[in-house]
Amino acid sequence: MKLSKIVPLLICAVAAFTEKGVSQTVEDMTVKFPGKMAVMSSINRQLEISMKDGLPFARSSEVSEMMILDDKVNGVFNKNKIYHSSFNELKKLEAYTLVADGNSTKKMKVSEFKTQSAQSESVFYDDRKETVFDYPKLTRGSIAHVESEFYNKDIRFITPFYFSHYLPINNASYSIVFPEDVEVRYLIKNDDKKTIQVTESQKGRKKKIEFTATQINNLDYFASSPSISYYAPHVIVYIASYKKDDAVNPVFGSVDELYKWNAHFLEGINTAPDAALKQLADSIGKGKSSSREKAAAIYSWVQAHIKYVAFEEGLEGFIPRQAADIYHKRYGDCKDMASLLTALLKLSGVDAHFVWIGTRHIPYSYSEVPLPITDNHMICAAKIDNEWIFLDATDPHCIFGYPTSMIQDKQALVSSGPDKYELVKVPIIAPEKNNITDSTFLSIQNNTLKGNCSVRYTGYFGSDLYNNLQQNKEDDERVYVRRRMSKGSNKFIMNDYKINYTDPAKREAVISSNFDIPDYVKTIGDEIYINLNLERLLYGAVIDTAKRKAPVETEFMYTIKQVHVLDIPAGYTVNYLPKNTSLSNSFTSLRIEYEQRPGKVIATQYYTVNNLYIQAGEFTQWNNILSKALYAYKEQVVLQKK
Amino acid sequence: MRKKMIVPFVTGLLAQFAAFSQPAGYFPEKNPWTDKPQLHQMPALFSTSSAVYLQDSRICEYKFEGNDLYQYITTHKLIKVMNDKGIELFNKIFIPSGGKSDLSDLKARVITSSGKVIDIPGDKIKEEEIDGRKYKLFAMEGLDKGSEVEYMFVSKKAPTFFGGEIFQSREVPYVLATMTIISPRHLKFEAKGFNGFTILQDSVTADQRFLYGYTENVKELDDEKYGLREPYLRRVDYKFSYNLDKKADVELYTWKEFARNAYINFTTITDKERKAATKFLNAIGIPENASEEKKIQLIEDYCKNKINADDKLVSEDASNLEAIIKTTNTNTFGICKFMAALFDIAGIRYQLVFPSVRDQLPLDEELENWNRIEETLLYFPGTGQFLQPDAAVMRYPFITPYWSGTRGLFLKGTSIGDVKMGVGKFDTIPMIPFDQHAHNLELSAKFDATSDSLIINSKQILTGYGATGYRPIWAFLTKDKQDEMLKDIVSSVAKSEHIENIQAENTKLTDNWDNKPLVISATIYSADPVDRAGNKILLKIGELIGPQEQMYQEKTRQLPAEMQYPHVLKRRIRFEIPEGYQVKNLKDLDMDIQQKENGEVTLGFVSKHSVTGNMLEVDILETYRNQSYPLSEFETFKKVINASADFNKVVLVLEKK
Repeated sequence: MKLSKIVPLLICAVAAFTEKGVSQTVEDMTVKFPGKMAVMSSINRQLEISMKDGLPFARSSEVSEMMILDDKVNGVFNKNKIYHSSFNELKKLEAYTLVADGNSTKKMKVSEFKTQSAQSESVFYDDRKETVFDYPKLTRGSIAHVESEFYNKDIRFITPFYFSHYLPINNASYSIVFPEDVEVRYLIKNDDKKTIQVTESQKGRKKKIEFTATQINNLDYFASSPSISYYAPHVIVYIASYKKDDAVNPVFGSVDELYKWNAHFLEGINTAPDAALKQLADSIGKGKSSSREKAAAIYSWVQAHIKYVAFEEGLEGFIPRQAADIYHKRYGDCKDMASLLTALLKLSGVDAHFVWIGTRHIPYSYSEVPLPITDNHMICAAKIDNEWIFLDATDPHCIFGYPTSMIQDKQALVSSGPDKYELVKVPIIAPEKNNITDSTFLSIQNNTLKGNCSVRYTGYFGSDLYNNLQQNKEDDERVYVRRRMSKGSNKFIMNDYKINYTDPAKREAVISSNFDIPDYVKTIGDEIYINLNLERLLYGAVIDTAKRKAPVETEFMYTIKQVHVLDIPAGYTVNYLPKNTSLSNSFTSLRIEYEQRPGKVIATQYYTVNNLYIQAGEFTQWNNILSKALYAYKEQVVLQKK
Repeated sequence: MRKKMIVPFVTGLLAQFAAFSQPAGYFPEKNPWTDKPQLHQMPALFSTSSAVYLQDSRICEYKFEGNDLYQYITTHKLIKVMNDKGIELFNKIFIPSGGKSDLSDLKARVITSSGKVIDIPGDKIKEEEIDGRKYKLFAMEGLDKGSEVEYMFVSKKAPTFFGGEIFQSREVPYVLATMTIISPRHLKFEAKGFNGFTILQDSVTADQRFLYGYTENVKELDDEKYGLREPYLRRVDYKFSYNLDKKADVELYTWKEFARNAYINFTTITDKERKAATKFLNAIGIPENASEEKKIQLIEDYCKNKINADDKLVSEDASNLEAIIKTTNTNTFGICKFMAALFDIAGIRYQLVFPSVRDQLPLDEELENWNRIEETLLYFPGTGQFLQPDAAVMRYPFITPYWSGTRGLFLKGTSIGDVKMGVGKFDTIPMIPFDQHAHNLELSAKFDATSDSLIINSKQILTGYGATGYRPIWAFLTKDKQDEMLKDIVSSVAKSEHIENIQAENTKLTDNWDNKPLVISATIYSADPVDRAGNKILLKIGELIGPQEQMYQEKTRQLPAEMQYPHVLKRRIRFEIPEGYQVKNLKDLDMDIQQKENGEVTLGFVSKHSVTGNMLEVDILETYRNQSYPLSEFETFKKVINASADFNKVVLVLEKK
């Protein structure tokens, strides 16, 4: 993925000026923030834009102070890290602790700093660095002070300012000072309650915009949550244009400008003919007549042969490498895979395009935020029979015709030449296209439930299965398959299994297995009790509606159908069959149906997730359906000796 | 030559090789890099593996350049990759290049499945520094199924006289791994192989000495539940032992010597440091009549509350006592040195102890690899107990469980005239006995008026290591997080959104001192353990003991079972059978699996029930008396683990009388 280096590092990027004049005592803060161990007494960033050699230049200074409210924190907050890179150069860093010493304070300077490579999960190598230091003497009343200064190599990369922190914030401010010849715009996100105040002023030829907020609760992290940019208040500032010699020079301000800037990274990419690539395209396309068939084959080749390895040093994070180079090396990042795909498709006569896109990690659309922070990913799109097909080879088992699940519903910026682009919405794959269909035949032997199941996976479920099976061999495969098949109780014993790759192109597979679940069945006197809901498909925790701010995120929408057919043991008859259940709301539905046939009981569960997110306003609906489902899942079938 | 490497070894020749020291052609030359590499067949033994190390050889050569001795380590690896997983494992290479070593002659290439050789050019090799260590990193180009990855590099550094190499991985087998130590003839090294690594007798030429070791066909060793992998890895350790030009019969770099040096490092402080430490000690305000044990406890607690011990502290000065007191920051070495000084000043006898940590590579008493020493404890002969200076969450006499129940190098300080010195000796660091560590549970449950849910009074009683894991919640978290965690702990009995009267007693870290039980109690209102079947009520009574670990269907076991700490779990469930109902399957509650040794239960899960009036009482005793159980007892161990998981599945059927 590109751009990872300038994605805001929330906790460390925020900084502050000390509150002017008023100093808050530790007692005040303890009252204001009861039960907290420390508080960010102030966080301030000042962004100063000036003209340098006729071009705008950005410099930011950050000052923050953390006050310790509890002696228990020994060791918890001492370490601090400041991240920087060639795009966001660290020019100055100072830190000290103000130690409460009776009625006065004593300043203890931090004298040792260590700079090292910062590690990122998805990128194999980049030039991001971290500077680490330790605050001395953090005891109740101590103030940990840090100030830093950054030069922005490119004014296009202004880091958003977050009015949130893992500690509560007493005062935060973000101000931008800029010459009147520069047009600055801003967007405030996730601030429905209008906690962020904006003041604009002008002094001489300099303008100032200041954002402030006070008494902000600490940021909470939630399970199954999208990134904090979906719910934490923040401000995005960008330079729309600047004047030079009376001419207005646009920077960013519309998608046109962003596109122009993006497109210049494609200059000279895949322009030289390459015999080896041509040969490859021809051999993949051999015997295939339609563009669709060719595209599918090329996509599949790139998925199978190019491994994801990302090197991002300087502009490497933005410029796709030459397709021929990637073909030779057999590895690359998203842009490189897009480059090879685009080149091969074009060589095969398919209408193919580079595409910039933000994954679902980023909440913005280009129309709303026409800035580089809106994307972090690049793919290829092919237009076949007037339909856009999004090809993302970073997932080796994404199905041709499906976008990767992480870009569903996002806006794609599709390149059609140096000045021509299109904004296209990536579809969400419908729940009925991602299926698990499970048919299981059950019989009872003593108290053991014996079963034969056949489970079919399609869509994203299929992709996931293929990806996992590719990573497993021998024993590990068995362990993985058992985990997938497992139901009833953790005493599930899987015997034989077979994986049938029914349609590799569509990543469809059927796993069949036979199993025993000892002690699953209760026999008491003349009666047998068995719960035929061997899996609780609708399952989860009750959401604390008072606490949770973030939506609940699902990777993709899906449908699961499970049919459990139980053989009634000889000499028994059905004494009690639970009632059917049907529940649904705007994001999910569950049906449990029981049916009695000669010698058999059939229990069927249909479960659908038909939304990618459960929004905060829908949590009560979730809690309701969950409690009803849990109730329905308790129902047991009772068999009685004749 | 490479073909010879993977020719199966004829075991009958082993003795002969030991005599002659080197199996011909088995060990690589100093430069095993050939101009025209050939592809190899995948060895039959590993035909289903994703990748295999065909060869992993290390040549460690000590040599003089002028008057200075240097150490050169040549590493050469050749790997065959067979599938996508294999490609993913080896298409990115990370080479630690050490703090002060020069890495040179780094060569890397891919021999593709069609035999094409692709060299990685030097400008594609990147460098990074993480936590003070430098790394070279690069990606392998053109890798496909059936291809081979080969790389080699030489690092040169000021000599270290200890070393070790591991030749066993979680997911990739080794066909052949070799270790060669070359030294000037008068410098004699010793090596020891572990878990199947063979060391051959050393041999000498006119001016050099050679020590060889190797291993073949090493299968993967993965982590296992209740298993400690590190001590069982196939590996070699080596050290410099004799300088034949000087005193040929005096062994160098022994544990005794280590002890002398370490003692000096840990206990030498300046007068100024001593003065500062004395002032710090006086501020604790230890009552004059305090017992030795009390003094130890107060000093430790004060120190741990005031001083931040962080092994990654950014400071060159982290172990200077004055700086520690001034900044309240230090690192692991610093906190040990600081506490040692405090106990010394307070007149409390102590010994520094270097434990052989159970879940790490062990200290070997014979092969004195000083590099294996990583951790430090303090032992108090006056009380017979230990203290772990760098563990902010532990309090005397509790230390990290894997650091006890093991051997350790004890440093006893003695005085010879005015000179104080340390004498080192291996001894046992005993585990605090099993009955001191408990996870007990007392429950009383009854149906509410609707008969749809239970009202459960739950009391979890934790002692010893059962409690040390939880107490940091109260020591380090804010009130709201404490409440959240507490709710989670209580909910292990029964899932519920309605929990009342949550209380926790003896939550302080210092409650370790007298091993006071940590008691967590609450009233839980939950429908979760109740199922329905027509007009009958099904009570999932077994789930009330919380979800239990299970080992129902495992891969073939390779490692013995090791507990973090031996312990007992006593549980009592009282359930009020509702008026007008009867339970027919009470006998499902009775279970009995035990293993005895000398009449004592070493391992067991016993559950019994009784009924008085309408009160059902179930008593469960689960015992893990031993710290470890050998592979021969593994089946019983598994049965006991699974017995508790089986108990989870006990369901009582309540029907109207």
